[in-house]
Amino acid sequence: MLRRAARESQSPQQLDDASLARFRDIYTRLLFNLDVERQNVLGITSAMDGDGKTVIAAGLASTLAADGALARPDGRPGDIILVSCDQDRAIGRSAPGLLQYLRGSVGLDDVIQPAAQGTPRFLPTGGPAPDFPSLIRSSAMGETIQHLRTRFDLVLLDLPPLLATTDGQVLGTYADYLLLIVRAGITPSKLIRQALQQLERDKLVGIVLNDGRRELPGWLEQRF
Amino acid sequence: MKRYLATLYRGRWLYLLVLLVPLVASIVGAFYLARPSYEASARVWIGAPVLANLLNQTPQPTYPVPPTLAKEHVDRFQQLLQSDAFMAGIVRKTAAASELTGDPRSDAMALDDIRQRLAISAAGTNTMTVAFTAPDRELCQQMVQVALAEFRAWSIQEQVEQRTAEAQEYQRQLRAQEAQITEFRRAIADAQRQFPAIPDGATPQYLELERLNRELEAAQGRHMVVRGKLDQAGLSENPDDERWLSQFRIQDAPTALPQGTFATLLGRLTYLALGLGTGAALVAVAVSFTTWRDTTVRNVDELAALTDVPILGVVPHLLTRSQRRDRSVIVPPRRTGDRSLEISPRGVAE
Repeated sequence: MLRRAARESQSPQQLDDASLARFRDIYTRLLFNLDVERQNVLGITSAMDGDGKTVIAAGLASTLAADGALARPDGRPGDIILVSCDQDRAIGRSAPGLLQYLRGSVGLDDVIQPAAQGTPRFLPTGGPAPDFPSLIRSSAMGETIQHLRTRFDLVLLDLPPLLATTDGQVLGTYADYLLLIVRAGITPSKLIRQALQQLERDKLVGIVLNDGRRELPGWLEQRF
Repeated sequence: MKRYLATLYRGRWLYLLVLLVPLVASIVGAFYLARPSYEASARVWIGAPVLANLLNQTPQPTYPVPPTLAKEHVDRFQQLLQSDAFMAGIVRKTAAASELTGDPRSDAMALDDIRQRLAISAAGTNTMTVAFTAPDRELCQQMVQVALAEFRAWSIQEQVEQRTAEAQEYQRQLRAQEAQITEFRRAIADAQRQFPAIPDGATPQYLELERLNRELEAAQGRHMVVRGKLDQAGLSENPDDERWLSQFRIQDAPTALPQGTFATLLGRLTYLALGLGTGAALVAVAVSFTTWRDTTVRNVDELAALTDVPILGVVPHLLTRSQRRDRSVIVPPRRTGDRSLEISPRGVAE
């Protein structure tokens, strides 16, 4: 089973044109609202586990990098990094990452995964760890984010869910902007209200509805 | 409304199952649990009265075509059955008499129930069928026998009364014609006394006498015809003569108890309708309850109603690689626009 999980984890997930177009719409609306030249850390979170924030974060990072949407003054495409800060559901859990760097056991360049042209850089969490809460609350975490802020044109933080632990709120303080993910048919409206209360509203730039599906057949949808 | 429909559409297969389970149960119930019913029936041949055409030997064709004898009797029978008194008269002579308690409302309901199970129909020009359906075989037999006997008795009584009235009318006509004849004879005698020697030719006296003679002969002729017919039929002497009555001959009498069960279609349809109604009600309750319990946000409108934070977009349902492979059997994957995202299945699942 472990082998199968490992094999599956290495297989790329394909996005079709329709999904890419949706991600383009989202990052375009985002970039209209963000001042990425001065504040370039965007945290992506959700009310509860399973809302799809990791998929949205990865999709946004990938589409932004592929499209070269962030352009530097010299015309070269901007560097984008996706930082996985959710130890429970994270991409590349087995690889050394943020936690190992915060402990000081590896260098930052050793854990940032190199990227081909048109793809984002990626900093994995480094697996689940009991000292995760204390590490993210340490000054090293703030310094790391500050370092990434200066080194990359856009830093996307894949944050833990807000209502499961307080880790999401703590890590949200490092972000300049926050994006809330709501999963259609999964996230209760009560939890959305609670999440909105816990978020710093001035940082919240918008909400993305994930897993949106047509609720009725087309012929019936037209009647309502 | 849309939210309820969306709930129904999302769980359509489950709700279809909820609808089908009571329906299937009702089908099983209709065929195995429905009370067996029996039907007793009788076929009656109705002949025209032997002397029916005696007074009108050359009936003229009429339009529209008059109903057949069987239809005429069926119509009478059905009209009689609408009468509670006639129905009660039948029921009191059967095993169902205990259902009549004396309470007008319950009696009316009992009579209605029996009335619906008593079927009268015409099966040809001269054949009438009477059938009764009930779970009690003896009651079926009794009901058909008693209903036929009651109808026959009523029919005879009605025809005797009619013939009596007709006889009285003919007697009156005879008396009137006899009076006319007497009057004409008296007038002729008076004329002959007044003018003993009436000259031949066109004198007024002669013409008046001739007219009176002709009138007398005509009245005598009519009198003889009516008298002859009445004498021939014997109506004037005996209006109860059965030759004037419709001939009832029971062809297939319910002499034995009905054996085979008779499953009424209406009964089975009632079971099916109950099953369908129960299923639909269950679906309605389930959909209502599920919709009421569902507090999740399902679309942009509901999200917008919840907060004033701008909604940046909607990401459609992303298929996993295995789902895409399954769908590719029907729709080939679109390779040209695909992008690679190094996302593990665990990430996708989130």
